[in-house]
Amino acid sequence: MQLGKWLLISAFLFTLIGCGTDSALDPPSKQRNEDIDLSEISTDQSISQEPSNRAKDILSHYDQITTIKAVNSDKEILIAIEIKHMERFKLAKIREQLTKEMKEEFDNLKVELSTDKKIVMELDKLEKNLKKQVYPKKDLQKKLNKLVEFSKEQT
Amino acid sequence: MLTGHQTWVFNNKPVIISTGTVGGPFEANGNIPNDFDLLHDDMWLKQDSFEKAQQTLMEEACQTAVKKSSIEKEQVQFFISGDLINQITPTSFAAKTIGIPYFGLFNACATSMESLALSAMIINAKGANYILSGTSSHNAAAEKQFRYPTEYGGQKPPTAQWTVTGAGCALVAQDGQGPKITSATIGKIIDMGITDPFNMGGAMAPAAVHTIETHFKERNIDPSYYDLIITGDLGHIGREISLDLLKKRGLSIQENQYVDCGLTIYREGQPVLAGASGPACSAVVTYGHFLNRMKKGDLHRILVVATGALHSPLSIQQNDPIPCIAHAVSIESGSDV
Amino acid sequence: MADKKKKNAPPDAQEYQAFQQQREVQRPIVKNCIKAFFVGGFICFIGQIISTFYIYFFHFTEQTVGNPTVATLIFITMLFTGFGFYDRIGQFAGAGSAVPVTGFGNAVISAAIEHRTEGFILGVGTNMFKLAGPVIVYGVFSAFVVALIKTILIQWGGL
Repeated sequence: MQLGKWLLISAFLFTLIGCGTDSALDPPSKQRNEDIDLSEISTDQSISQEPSNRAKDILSHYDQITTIKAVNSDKEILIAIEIKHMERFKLAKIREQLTKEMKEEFDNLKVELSTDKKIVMELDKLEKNLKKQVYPKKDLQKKLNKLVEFSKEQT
Repeated sequence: MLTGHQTWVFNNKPVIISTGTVGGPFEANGNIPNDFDLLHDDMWLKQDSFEKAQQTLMEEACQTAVKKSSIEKEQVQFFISGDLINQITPTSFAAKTIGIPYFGLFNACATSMESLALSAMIINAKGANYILSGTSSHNAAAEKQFRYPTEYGGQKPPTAQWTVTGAGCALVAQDGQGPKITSATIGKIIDMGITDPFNMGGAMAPAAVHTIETHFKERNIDPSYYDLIITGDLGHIGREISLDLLKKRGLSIQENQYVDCGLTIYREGQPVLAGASGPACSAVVTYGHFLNRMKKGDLHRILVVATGALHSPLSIQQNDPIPCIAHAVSIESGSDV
Repeated sequence: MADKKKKNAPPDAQEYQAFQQQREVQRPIVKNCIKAFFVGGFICFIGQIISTFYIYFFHFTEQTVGNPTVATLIFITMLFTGFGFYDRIGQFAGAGSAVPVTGFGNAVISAAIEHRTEGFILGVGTNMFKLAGPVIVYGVFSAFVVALIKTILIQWGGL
């Protein structure tokens, strides 16, 4: 029957979605990509934001990236990036490789790298606040912890 | 009387003294709204189910037919009718309301002419003075029974047909004013192995061809005897296929002499795909449109061939072919005979 | 099964079927595909607007925004089905409106509306998944088979 055929096809389509992608990151260029939306945060916070700034510096050499946001505490660092639209086909691979690279770079910190739009927005807010005021150490840690958990939330 | 193997010739000339036709909103918007006695603008007819709405359609058609005649309801001996829905319950409930002894028939879309042929036969044999014979169908009730829910957004192929919402009823009498029923050919089941319920026109065409051919052979007349040969609900595809088959069998039927009720009832541009179908299709178009034209004097002799696809949702799912049938009844205007 | 029957059919039936097939109006497949592409794409575009809206104005990440977006789309479908537009869109768009989640919603909702007259338990309850049930059954089953194949490949294939 016609309907039966359609139902079967759509059932298979649903299971097949999610396969594929086989490509990697372009090698980093020597120059920093100046188009990237990032801002370095002052290091006079209760917790030095030097690791975040360093992460931004490293990541800014990748041409595929368009936005980098990062905040760290003394235990963990949360990095959020956005990439060019057409590169999103390779999103999972890129995320995996950059996470690995960042983990090697910051072996004393717990590294969390997200490509989620919402995390980019939340980190942007936090960065702006950090520029305006000095956060108590505990507050910052708590805030960051919450964001890390939020970024890992699954349905 | 019996002529040949499957044709009756009615020597006593039963008369259709009045008719009643009722339609829904889609029919009101169609090609022949003036030929309906009563049109509704609500699919539900203020009932709480489509089946009850269909029952109401049937009741109203019968009441209209009786009201238009000069007789009382109590004078009618039999009510011969049927429809498509589960065990023809809408018709049976309508029969309860009307309160006349009742024959229930099922021949899908061919029920209209089956009931007219049987009525004529009983009247001809003096088994009754007045018989009400009619059929009804309701688009949404038929969709629910045979296809998918009304609001389901599935795409129908261009061969699909649209079930008519309506009911048509004829009051047949021993004598009186009106068109006369002169003969009837009862068809047999033709099964060409078509299994697609969305292509009923293609499935039913051979049955129509067989009945028409038999009718002419057994009555020993030529197609030119009739002003019009009217098929029930073959739609675009079935009409063309059957016309080609008839020509192949050596029957010289003119293109404009061969019309289909399913193509008459709706306008161009209504989303009916291949045409209309349903037991009410041949009933309302014949009892409404064509008998009106006959009364006006446009037509003198017509042959109505109602075609039916006798499948059920179950038989289709079990991959059985669609058994098809066609019954032909010839109607001639009173002055002519 | 159907093929077997066709071979066993008498010759005149076979001949008629061949003749009938020629005369049958075919579905305009290319046209249908183009329509389905655009309507399906438009539905997904609306879904994307809804999910972006939720990300910007509510506390959802790209991961968690799926559920509320689907719920909103199904709610809109419910209104469209109830007011009687969706079947018209479906007749025009075909797969374009059947494959997105709105098509699934429509299958459930239309069946529920249709069988309301038979009561809430035996009407709505039993018939609601009449059309959508097979999608769930075979969706879950094929997911299971795919997962099984993947597990076997990883365990013994060393992928």
